[in-house]
Amino acid sequence: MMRKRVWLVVWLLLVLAMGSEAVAQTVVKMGSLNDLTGPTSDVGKDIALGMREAVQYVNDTGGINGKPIKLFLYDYGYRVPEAITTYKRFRDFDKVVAVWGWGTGDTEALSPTVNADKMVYLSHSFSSHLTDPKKTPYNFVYGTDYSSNARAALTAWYDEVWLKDPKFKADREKGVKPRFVAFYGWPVPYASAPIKAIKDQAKLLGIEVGPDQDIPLTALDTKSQVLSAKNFGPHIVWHGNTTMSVATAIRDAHALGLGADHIVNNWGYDENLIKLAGPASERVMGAAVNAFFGEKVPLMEKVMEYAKRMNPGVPLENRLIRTVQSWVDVLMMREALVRADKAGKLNGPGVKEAFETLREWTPGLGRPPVTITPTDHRPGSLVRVYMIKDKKFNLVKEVDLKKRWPDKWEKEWLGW
Amino acid sequence: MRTGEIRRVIVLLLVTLAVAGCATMPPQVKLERVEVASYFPYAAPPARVPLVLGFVYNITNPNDFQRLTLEEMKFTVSFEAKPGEYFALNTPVVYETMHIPGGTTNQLRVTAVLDSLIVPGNLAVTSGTRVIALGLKPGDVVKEWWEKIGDFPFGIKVSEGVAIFASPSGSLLVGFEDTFKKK
Repeated sequence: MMRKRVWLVVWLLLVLAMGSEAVAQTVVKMGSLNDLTGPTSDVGKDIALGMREAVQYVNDTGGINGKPIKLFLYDYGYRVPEAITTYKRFRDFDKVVAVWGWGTGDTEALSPTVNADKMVYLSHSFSSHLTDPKKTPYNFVYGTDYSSNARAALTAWYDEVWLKDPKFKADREKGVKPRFVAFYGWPVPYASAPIKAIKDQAKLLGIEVGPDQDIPLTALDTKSQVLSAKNFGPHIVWHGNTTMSVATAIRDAHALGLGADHIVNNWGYDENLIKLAGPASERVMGAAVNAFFGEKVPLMEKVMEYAKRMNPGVPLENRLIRTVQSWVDVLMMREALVRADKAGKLNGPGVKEAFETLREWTPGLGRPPVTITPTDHRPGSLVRVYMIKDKKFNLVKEVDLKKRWPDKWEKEWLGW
Repeated sequence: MRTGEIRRVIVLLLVTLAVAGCATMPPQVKLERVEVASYFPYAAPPARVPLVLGFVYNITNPNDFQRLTLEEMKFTVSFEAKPGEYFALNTPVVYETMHIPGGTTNQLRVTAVLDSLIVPGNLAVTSGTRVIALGLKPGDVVKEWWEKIGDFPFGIKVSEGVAIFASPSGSLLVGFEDTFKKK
């Protein structure tokens, strides 16, 4: 009888041990705000897919020192009030350790709250306003900030096209100053964030600035804006919106013979631009914060493997650089969480301190090395600028703003 | 413990491992129906009218084991604007935990809200070129969908669906898609 009981206990212990793994583990809860329905859903949906896939990869490869991430990912439709409400759910009910955020409007609106709450907030918004730790100590960005992207893209065009390309030879020889206009949604915080910086850069490079054109993120027709810009005769146009409206404007500019070149902020520059703008996308330049989907760079095989495994209903040919961005975002957060956990400080202040120890860190995936310090949350000064040729992205120039303008980088450009 | 008993323990251990590791049949996720969970009459912009839909799923555990747990589910909702032409409007994600006993089917209702002011913008940014090519106007399409939804004269598709389950043999990922039309 006694032996039978022993057998029963052994059996039960075995079964319980095998089945209770998930219960026994501590999870690291994380919140993610995403736009799956709003005016940036053209880029937001692929981001959301990539976030979930990257978290799965993290969990499959050891999590946070053995603790898996439990992700709560919600759509907020690019509506600031909904973002605030969802953040409160993350903070008060889900009890997350940190948040992955999305747009510039909501991230900047939430900034005073997350900083008061000491909640680390790593956003897909790369607004420069989020990079000065004196003002926003708990905000972090994983890509080069919009102002740096804009400065670098304009510089790359000036160096490699304006000074060298036969297209502008006649104007160069006549001593004409290059002319610049900006196309972007004026009331959109994301689109307007780097405008002051790019105009400052234009001045630095001796470029004349023309009238801004207001283009909504949802624009399907931009002919009136293109015709208005045509009166100024620009050589170069900055596009500050997301892919769909950027493609519309580039198509209309091509059809109406604007004659200018185009440079695009990172959220308007992806694989869909080539599909949507067609032949008009040739020569279009833009900043990219990491490799495009499918590029041969370290870890890309895993990105593609998880895309196929986790979202079999979405064909790989429809996936974008946005997925890769999400992986960089998740892996950067993982690095900080692992460091904070090892230090016994898996909490807001601990994760913030961990981010500020990153030095020349990269997850691969074509992301230039990231350095973040307690006095500067810009994750790097090196921006890769590409040009579309034969329907492919070709690297034109790596612009290292800190190396080229060290004083301005250190003393003038932080936070705007 | 004698040698014979040790052997029996080892055999028992192996049997337990074999039982736990034996082939698991994938759970099935099937859209039972779409319901208008709450209705507000359409009004033209700048009015903002929500359309609240309930997606009722049958989720079946075809296995004998009792410990199958739904942990997470997401899918994309598309409405039909012209015959056979669907437009993705939303991707709900839910994290409710649901235990599904072996050989049984549970039901899960996922509530999703669409917004008459947001959907036209969503159509423009995600499908603008196709909308124009089909001769559609986002505002008109939304008005029709909101006004006629009660009769379900157009198809509603769920696609890119993924449900993640915890099971004795580890995490199970099940893809699904379906279309709801009035029968």
